[in-house]
Amino acid sequence: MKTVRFDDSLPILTNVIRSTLGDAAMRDGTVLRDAAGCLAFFSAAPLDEITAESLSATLRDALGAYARSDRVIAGSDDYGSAAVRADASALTVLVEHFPVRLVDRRLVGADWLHAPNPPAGPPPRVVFASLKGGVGRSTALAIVAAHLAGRGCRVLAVDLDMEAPGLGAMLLTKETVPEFGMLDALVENGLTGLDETFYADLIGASELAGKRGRIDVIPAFGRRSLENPADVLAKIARAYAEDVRQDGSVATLLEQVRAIVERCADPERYDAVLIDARAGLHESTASAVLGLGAEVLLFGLDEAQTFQGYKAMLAHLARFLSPTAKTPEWLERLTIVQGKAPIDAEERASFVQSCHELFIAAGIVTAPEAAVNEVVLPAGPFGDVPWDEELSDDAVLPAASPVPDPLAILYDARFQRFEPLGRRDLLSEAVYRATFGALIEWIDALVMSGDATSAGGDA
Amino acid sequence: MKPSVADLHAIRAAIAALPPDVSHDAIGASAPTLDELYAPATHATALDPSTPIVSGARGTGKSFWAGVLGADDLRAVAATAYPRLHLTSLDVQFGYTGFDSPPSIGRETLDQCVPASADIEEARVFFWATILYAIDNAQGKQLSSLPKLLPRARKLDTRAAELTAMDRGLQEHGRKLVIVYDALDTMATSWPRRRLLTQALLEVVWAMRAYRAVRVKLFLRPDQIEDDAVRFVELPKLRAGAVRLTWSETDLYGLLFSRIALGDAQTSFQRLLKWLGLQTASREEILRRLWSPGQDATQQQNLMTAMAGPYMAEGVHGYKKGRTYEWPLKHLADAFNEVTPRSFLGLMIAAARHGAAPSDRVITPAGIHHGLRAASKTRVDQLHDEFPWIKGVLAPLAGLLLPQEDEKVFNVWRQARTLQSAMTDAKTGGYLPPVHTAPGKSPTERDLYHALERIGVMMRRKDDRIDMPDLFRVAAKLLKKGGTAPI
Repeated sequence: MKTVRFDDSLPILTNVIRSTLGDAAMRDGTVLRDAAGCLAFFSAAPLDEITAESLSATLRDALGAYARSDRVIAGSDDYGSAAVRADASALTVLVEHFPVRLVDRRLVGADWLHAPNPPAGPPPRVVFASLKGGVGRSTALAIVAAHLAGRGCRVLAVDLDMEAPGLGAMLLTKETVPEFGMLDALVENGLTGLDETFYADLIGASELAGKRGRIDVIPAFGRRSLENPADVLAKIARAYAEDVRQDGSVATLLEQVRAIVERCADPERYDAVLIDARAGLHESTASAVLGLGAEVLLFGLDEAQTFQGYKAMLAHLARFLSPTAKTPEWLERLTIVQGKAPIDAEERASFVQSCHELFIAAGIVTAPEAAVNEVVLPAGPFGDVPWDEELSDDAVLPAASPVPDPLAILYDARFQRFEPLGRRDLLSEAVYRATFGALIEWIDALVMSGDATSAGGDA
Repeated sequence: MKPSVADLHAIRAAIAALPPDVSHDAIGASAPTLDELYAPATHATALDPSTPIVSGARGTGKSFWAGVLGADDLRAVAATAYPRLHLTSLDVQFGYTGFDSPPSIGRETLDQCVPASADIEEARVFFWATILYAIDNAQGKQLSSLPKLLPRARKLDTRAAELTAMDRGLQEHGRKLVIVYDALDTMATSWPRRRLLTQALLEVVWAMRAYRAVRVKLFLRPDQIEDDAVRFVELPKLRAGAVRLTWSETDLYGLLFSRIALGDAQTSFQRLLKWLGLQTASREEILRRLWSPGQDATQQQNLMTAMAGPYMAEGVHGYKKGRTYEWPLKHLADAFNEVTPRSFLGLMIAAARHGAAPSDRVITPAGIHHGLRAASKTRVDQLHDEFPWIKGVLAPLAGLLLPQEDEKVFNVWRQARTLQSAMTDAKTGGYLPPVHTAPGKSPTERDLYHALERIGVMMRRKDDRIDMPDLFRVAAKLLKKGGTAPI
């Protein structure tokens, strides 16, 4: 017999239950996947002993290593069954188009199980995220920060990329780097708690602001980490740990990061909060992408690696979509940014098309037209087919995509290994606008939309 | 002072009542008029007497400019718009216009001079004759009929002598004679003949390059000069020097705003301009491009924001649905990324007629959306005048998911028997069929695709799949469906 693998396990269980207990029982029941990945089915109805025993044998046989060892099936009145079925973190996933309730118990990655948070702010938050480095993410953040500061805005820049920090070095100097960094905040918050002095020592002012606006930076590493590099790894190990609160409840990394950002993102002090997120499909990316209530810019290049990674992330997010409800608000906050985009508009259009198809493939967006199995024939004479005035606008006009169109940042060698504090010439608007124009327009609309919601309304 | 609700409504009504930029002929009842004259900066090279070949898709203004050049009063006005072209020192005659009423030359005269069996030499002689005819006309000579000019046109040395004399005479007086050819797609209804005539004409154009004061000027469709089957050794040089008539985004908005500025809501629009701190307009300033909202994209965006709101949707995420200024341009573009003034104005007119008049703006995003529908029909109707097969070919694509692999697209046409219908219909209707293949080879769906690609209706993406611009996708869905065939 073929060895059962992770990807096979849930479809196998679903098929066994559907063919023995029926579709209704499968739909009403709950599947538990434990931390090791093994499965068990919790029925919403009581099961008699004979059914339970024979089903248990069938499932063990079919699932192999992926059957839970203590019990693989439970009726509604069995011990512990009610608690699993009532678990609030249950997701509905589609298994061969069949909706299955799944409780996914993970040791790591728990933050991925939270549905995205509603928009936070003011001030608006923007997460600059990417799956890998070298796609121009931090450079874009620096340019956006400098641009906003140039317009007299006050910006808070936060580096969440603790394993490959870059923002601090880019925006701060030895003289301006604060005592602590995000890393310290995550370590200290569980043990000593964070007071006003700590927060004050977490933020450094960047000279990039150029005196017109302000750019405050929370780097990943503060001065102390830079001076004691040997302790950095030890701190990282603790930073990702869940904290146990005084009342005994657990604060996940997401909750900790959110609390810190929340505390610092004071609407009276800042007009925008820019967050540099760790690359990769990692826990800390989850907190940034999903949990901060931010606008999320997903940076990538026009290459297979980008699409593979984002497909996994988006397919995961698709699990938070209900098949019946209307498009959730947070979809409009995911914008893909093409880094190092070619000048050629046609090539960029092909990236836009690929992104559109990515959202369809991940199950986030439904395809606008079904595949055809019949051909429509024109009415009337071939040489003068009449117009059909009966059709509604919705039936003929292009539907607006629920996800925003990707933005392009053009390839520009001058911004490679960008050191903004050393290359002020690149910070003149005419220079950076040529490369970052689409992103600049986007950020202007976002930051200005807060104070100009009535624009056009009073025309 | 802020414009009142009445002002906004007046501007809306004026847009709704704009003439939808009717199609023009170089001469006759549909010749251009003074009120319609709008002169984008980029069209100067197209009007330049020393530019022999001007190409442009249907609706970009070929016949319009041919007509302006040919009418003394309009040319005088155009001269103020393009002072560097010295249009007032021109004499303009028509070579071919598609109209058979002397001195204009149309297809009947052409067929009479160049019989169906004719070779390329006879076709060349015909075009030389049109030049001699124009020279006679310009000198006020008694006009003989074109067939009678053929012997004179055939004799190389006397013909050359005549031209040289004319050229010198004009140069001495500091004048130029421009002979304008328009509606050249009407010359033939079969592919071999169209190619023969096009090639003969282009050879004559090339031979005329040495005369500085006697100039020929052709207004023709891009697919006619880019036809691969037309070939002679100098053709690449002619193609390289050809100028394309196009409308940039600022030209299109400039046209719209100038129509409003000079229309029924003139005073309301002036109040809006003043309120926005923008320059008000006079006809003279518009024509000479001294009115900045006619040229300046930032000012145009401010104006559009005041008229339609900044974005295509309300709410905090509204800005992600695109700017009201850019959305129409993006969705009206054909596969060459070109927008014609008629579909642009068509969209705006339909937008101003859609729904109830709002109290805070002139047109709404919903109206602009709806306007795409009108513009889409307008564009296809426009193409239909020249390619009567277009609707029948587009209709079966309505339900197709795009972009798509070649075979999926071709299969739809196969099932609908589109190619056969198109060829038969062209024969019975007496028009040029979409495809032409060498004798012994039968046309394929791939040829049909290439025909659509040449006229900007379909395109190939970088990943090799076939796609179609929104403008034509909407049109395909809007065409009436009769039934279905299984795949």
